[in-house]
Parts: sequence; C-alpha cells; structure tokens
Amino acid sequence: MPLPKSLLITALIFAAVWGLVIWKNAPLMDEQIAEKIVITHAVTDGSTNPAAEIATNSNTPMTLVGIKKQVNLGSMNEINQHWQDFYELNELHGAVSNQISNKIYGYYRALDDNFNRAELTIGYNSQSVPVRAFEVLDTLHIKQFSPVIENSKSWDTTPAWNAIDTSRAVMGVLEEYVMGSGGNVTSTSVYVRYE
Amino acid sequence: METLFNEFQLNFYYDWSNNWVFVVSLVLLGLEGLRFTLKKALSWNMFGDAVTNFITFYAFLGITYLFVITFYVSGFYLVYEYFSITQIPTNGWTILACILLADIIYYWEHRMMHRVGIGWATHTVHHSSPYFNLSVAYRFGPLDGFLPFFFHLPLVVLGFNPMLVFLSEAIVQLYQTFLHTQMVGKLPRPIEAVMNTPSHHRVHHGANKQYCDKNYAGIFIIWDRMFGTFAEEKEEVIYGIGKQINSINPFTVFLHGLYRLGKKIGATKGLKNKLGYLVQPPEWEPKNETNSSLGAAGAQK
Repeated sequence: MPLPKSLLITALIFAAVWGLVIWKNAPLMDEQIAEKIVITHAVTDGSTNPAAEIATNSNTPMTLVGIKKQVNLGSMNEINQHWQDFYELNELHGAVSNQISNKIYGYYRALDDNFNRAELTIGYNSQSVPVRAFEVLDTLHIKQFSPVIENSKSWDTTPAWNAIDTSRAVMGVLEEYVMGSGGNVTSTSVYVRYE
Repeated sequence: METLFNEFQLNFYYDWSNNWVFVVSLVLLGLEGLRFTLKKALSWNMFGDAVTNFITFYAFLGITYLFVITFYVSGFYLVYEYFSITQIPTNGWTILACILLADIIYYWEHRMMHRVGIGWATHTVHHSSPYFNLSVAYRFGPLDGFLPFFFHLPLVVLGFNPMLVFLSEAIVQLYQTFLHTQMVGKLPRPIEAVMNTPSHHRVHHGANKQYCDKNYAGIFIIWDRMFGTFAEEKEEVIYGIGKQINSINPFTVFLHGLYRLGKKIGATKGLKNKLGYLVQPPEWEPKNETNSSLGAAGAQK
C-alpha cells in the first residue's frame, strides 16, 4: 500500500478509536470539567455570598494528595495532631514544587448532622506535586462550593466556620492556606459546599 | 471496565509489568540456553552475545533514564496540562484504546527506525546479533529511548494520561520480549493472522532478502498485513544485518550504528548530503557517491 494511503488509514483508525473513547467517557468527562472550575469571586466580609460567581477558566483539576483521617471537630488537639502528622510527611513536602503552587488545603467532608465528626484531608493540590507517586485522596467539585472568606490575612478560620449556615446541610468545607516563603501562612480562604 | 485508575496505580502497573517480564524472560532464557545445550548449539560466542545484549540494555536504560527524568516525563505532563485537547479519565476502555493506539504508533515508529538513517543507526544494534533468543529483546541502541517520545506525544495531545501512555508503550514493548525465541514454532492460524508471533518476529530479524523490512508490528500483525509490509516465515531465517559486525564487544555493538552513520556523514560533502544520510533510508547514497566503496558498504542494511 502506498505510504500516503497507509498514513491516511492510520489517521482514520486514530479518529475512530479516539472518538469511541470520548463517547464512552463523555459522562465522566463532564464531571471532570466541573472539577476544573475555580471560584473567581472574592468575598472578604466574612459572610456567605449565595450569588458567588463560578467560572470555568482553569485546566487544573482539584485533586488532593496528603493525609486523611476521621476527626472530632470539637477537639482542637485531634485536628492539630492531624496537621502535625501532615507536617511530618517529608517525602511529600520534598516532592512539592513551590513554583507551581504554594497552597495547602484542609478539606472536611462527610460531616455528621451535629457537626461533631468529619473526614479531614490535609494536603496539596496534586498539580503542585510533579512526582506522581502519591495517591489522590479527594477530588473536589469546586463548582459546588461557595466562598465564606477569601484572602483573609489571618490564619484563624474560626470566624469563617462561625459564618457557615448550619441550618443547611453542609457537604464539605475547604480551607485554603497560602504559604509564604518562610513557611508562614500569608492568606487564608474558606469555602463551603451546601447540599 | 468503568473503574477509574489513578496515576499512582498506573505507575505501579508500569513498574510491576517491567520487573516481572524481566524475571520471566531470564527464566525462559535459561530454558533456551538448556535447549541450545542439548542440541549442542551453545557456544561461548552465543553466551558472550547474550551478555552483551544485557550490557547494551543497561547502557540504554542509563541514557534513557537521564533523558526521561529531564525531558520525557516533564514534556508529556507539560503538553497534557497545557496543550491537550481534553483529559480522558482512565478506565478499562481508555486503557484498551490507548494500548491499541500505542501499538499502531509503534508500527510507524518501528518502520521509521528501519527506513530513516538516524533511526536505523540506533536500531541496527537490536538487529545486529547473529543469534535469536530472548536476550536479543534486551539489545538496545543508544537513541532507542528518544524517538518514541515524538511518536507518542500525539496520544498525550489527544488527552490520554501520560502515565497511561508510558504504561501502554511498556506493554507493547514487553509483549515483544517473548517473541524473541526459536523455541516456539508457528501458532494456530487465527492467532498468526491477528497477533504478532515469534514466527512473524523471526522474519523481522531476518537478513534474507525477502524478509528485509518486514513485520514491524508490536502486538498486532494486522498493521503489517494492512499496510503491505507483511512476510510469512517460509525459508529458514538468517539472523543479523547485511554487514555483520562480528563482535561481542559491548562498546562496538552499542555504538557501531552511530559510528557507521557518522563515518558516512563525515566522508560526504555538502549539507544536503549530510542531512540525507540522517533522514533518507539507510541504503540511500548521494547521487554523485553511489558508486563509491563507502556507499556500497553503507547500502548494505
């Protein structure tokens, strides 16, 4: 078979197989696009903003790598210990590229009705860990989150937690800490996902 | 088939398959050695050739790892994050499709390695053994790890996860490891019709005129049948290349292709001719040098 014809057939096979894969994965890919959504509106007054706008302008899926544990929300000791365990993940910290991202996330999910217990994942966006050897613990559908506090200069998230509307079913709370070059927190944001 | 796989798992499968295929190959190579011993066909030269094959493999790995760390992985992820059309979730269907596409890519990459000067300069190492056993599967040339990058990049652009592309490349490559044997004759006809088999691959390693530049396939022989590069194993295969190297010195084996190409480029005049040696088929000679002694030697693939 002449070379051009062979190459044309190859291109057709490629198009057919790729098309089939896209078709087969279409529902999953729609979901994935939702994961790439980032919050663009800043709310700095500490109150929730139900009209917060969401935009789809990032290629970065929000997947977390780090450490995960059930915690008692009333026990600061337990939560602090979990953070301490996270700080001791030297292999992970060594793999993080600060040039890509300097953010650490605390993601609370599976909160019980009384706000007593939750599953807490502390970690980095997997995008900031070029060495792909760490298991992705959570995938966030950021589209579904609303900002509670954004870019606060205080690392204390208590005001944000107090501002969460507990009369509604809370599916998840995401704390975002921007780290300075000295390892200090330079800004804090908190997002909440209601049912 | 709908189960999603993350990169951590793909990386695990990549390492697992590479390591275990290597172990199984060593066991089978031992069996092959036993077979040759019983047939009184084992020689020190054959043994030395097998050792050399593994030395070229580690030299290839060393070069490839340097390249992979600095360029291959980062290049794939850079394209995946910023230039890919989409990002396809990795499940069973995606894995099957990626392996199929990696296999057809392998066909073209392999054909290029045979039909383009620079490709043959490195791939000739793999073909230069006058023997044919499992150790030959580990006989690599210095640039064998570079060229696949450019061929597989389109898969990443189409949205396949880079780790899956690596895994698919590995699966296609590892499948072929087991084709390098004379212990297996022809398999049942339906298998021979669709799959690449030891018989088909023996033809590929043949220096016989009718076997030259045939059977480039990785896993599926259908690509060769489709594109007109298939040949059936009929006549006994003479292994090696047209101009045998007659050496088991690892340095000679590993570098002889690039050395021969460099020598030809150095001896010819004009940039067009020098580039011609790099991109034209291995038997190509500049029009004004066709009859030179160097040209005649170089023309023997």
